[in-house]
Amino acid sequence: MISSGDNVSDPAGSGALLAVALAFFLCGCVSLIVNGASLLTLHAFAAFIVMAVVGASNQLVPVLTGAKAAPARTVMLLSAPLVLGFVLLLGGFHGIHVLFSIAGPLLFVGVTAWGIWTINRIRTAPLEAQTRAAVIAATVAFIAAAGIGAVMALALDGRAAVGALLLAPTHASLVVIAFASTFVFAVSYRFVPMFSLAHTTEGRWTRSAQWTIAVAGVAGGLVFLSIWYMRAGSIIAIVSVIAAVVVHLHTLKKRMRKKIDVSLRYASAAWVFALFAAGCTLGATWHPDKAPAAVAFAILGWLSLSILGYSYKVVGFLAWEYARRMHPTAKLPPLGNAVPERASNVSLALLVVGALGAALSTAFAPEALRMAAVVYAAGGIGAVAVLARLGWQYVGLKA
Amino acid sequence: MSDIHLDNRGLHPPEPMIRILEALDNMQGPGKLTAIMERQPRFLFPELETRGLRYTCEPNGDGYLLTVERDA
Repeated sequence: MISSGDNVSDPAGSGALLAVALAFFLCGCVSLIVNGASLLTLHAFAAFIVMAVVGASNQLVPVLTGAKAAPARTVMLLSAPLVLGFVLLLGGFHGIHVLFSIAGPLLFVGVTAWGIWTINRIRTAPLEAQTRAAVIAATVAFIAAAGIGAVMALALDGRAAVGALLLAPTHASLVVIAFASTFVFAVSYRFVPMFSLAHTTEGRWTRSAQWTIAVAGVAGGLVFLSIWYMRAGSIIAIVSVIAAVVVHLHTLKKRMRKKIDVSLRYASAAWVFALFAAGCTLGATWHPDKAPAAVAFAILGWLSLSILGYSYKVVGFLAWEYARRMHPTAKLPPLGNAVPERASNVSLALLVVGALGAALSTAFAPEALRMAAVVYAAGGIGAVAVLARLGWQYVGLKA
Repeated sequence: MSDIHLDNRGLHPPEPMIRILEALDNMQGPGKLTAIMERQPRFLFPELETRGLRYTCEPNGDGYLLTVERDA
C-alpha cells in the first residue's frame, strides 16, 4: 500500500508531454529521410528535445529537489503555446513563410512563461541547491535563445532585418549546449546512480561539469563577437564531457545492479556522441562546412539518445505508477523485466549507426545521407514502438 | 527473523533507495525493515515489487515511514 497525498508525481501531465515529444521525434526521423539535413528536420528534433525537457522538468526535477509537481492541467496549459509554436515553426520551414511571424513570438512568449513558472517553482524547493541552480541557469539560457529565435523567425518572414539570421550559431549554442546539455548534465548526476542502483559520486569537483558545460554554451553563444569564443566554448565542452564521462564510468563501476539496462546503454552511447559533437564543433571553427556534422552528432546522437534512454525509465515508471493508482490491489508485471531487450538493443544499434552515418555523410558524402537517415529512422521508430508497448503493458491493464 | 531500522532523513536521492536495497540484500532470512523517509521513495516501489517484497509507505510526522517485510 502506498499512501496518497504525496505531490512529487504527475503521471498524466508528464506522460502526455513525453508522448508529444516522441511524436516530434518521429516527425524528425521522417523529415530526415524526406528533407535531409534541413532546418525543418533540425527543428522537429529541437521540438522533441524541448518538449522532453519541459516534461522532465515537471517530473524528474521535483523528484530531486522536492519541488511540487504541478497538476496535469497546468502542465498542459503551459506547454500548449510551445507545442503550437513548434508546429507553426515547422509549417514555416515547410514553406508557409507567414507562419514564422506567428511561431517565433509565440514560442518566445511560451518559453518565457514556462521559464518564469519553472524558476519560481524550483527556486524555493528545499533540496539540491546545485541542481536547482543549474536548471535555472539552463532555463535562462533557453529564454535568451527563444528571444533570438523569435527575431530570426521574423527575419525569415521579412519582418526583421535579415542580419538577424547571422545569430543562428548563437541561437544553436544557447539551445543545444547552455540549455539542453546543461539540463541533461545536471539531472544525470543523480539519475544515472538511481537507474543503475549505485551510490552517488560525491566530491568537490564531481558536479563541476554541469557548470563548465553551461559556460561553454554561453561562450559559444558569443561567436558573433569572435570565432575564438566558439573555439574556447568547444574546448570547455570537450573538457566538460570528459569530466562527466569519468563520473559516469565511476558510477557504473559501483552499481548494485549487475546488468547494464537499456537506459544506461543509451546514456553511455550518448556520452560518446557528446564527445564527437564537442570535438567536431571545435574542428568546424576552422572548417565551417563541417558544422552540420557537429549538429548531427549533438542532436541525433548526444541529446536524442540521452532523452530516449531516460524515456525507457520514465515511461515504464509513469505507466507503472498509473496502473498502481488505477488498480491498487492488482499484481502488476515487474517493471524490472518489462523492457523487451532484443528490440531495444536493435533500435539502439540502428540509432547509433544512423546518427554516425548521418553526421559523417553531411561532412564527407552527402549522397549517403538518405541511407543513414533510413537506418536512423528505423531505429527511432523501433525505439518509440518499444516505449509504446512498455507503457501499454500497464496503462492497458483491465480491472 | 531480523529487524532493521534506517533513518534516511537528510540524504539525497538515490542514497535512501540504495541504503534500503543494500540492507534488504544483506538481510539473512525473513525480517522487517523500517525506514524514516523525507519523501516517498517512488522509484523504490517497483524495485521492491520486482523482488517480491511486501511494503507500506505511510505519512509519519513531516515525512513517511516505509515498512518492508521479507518472508524468506
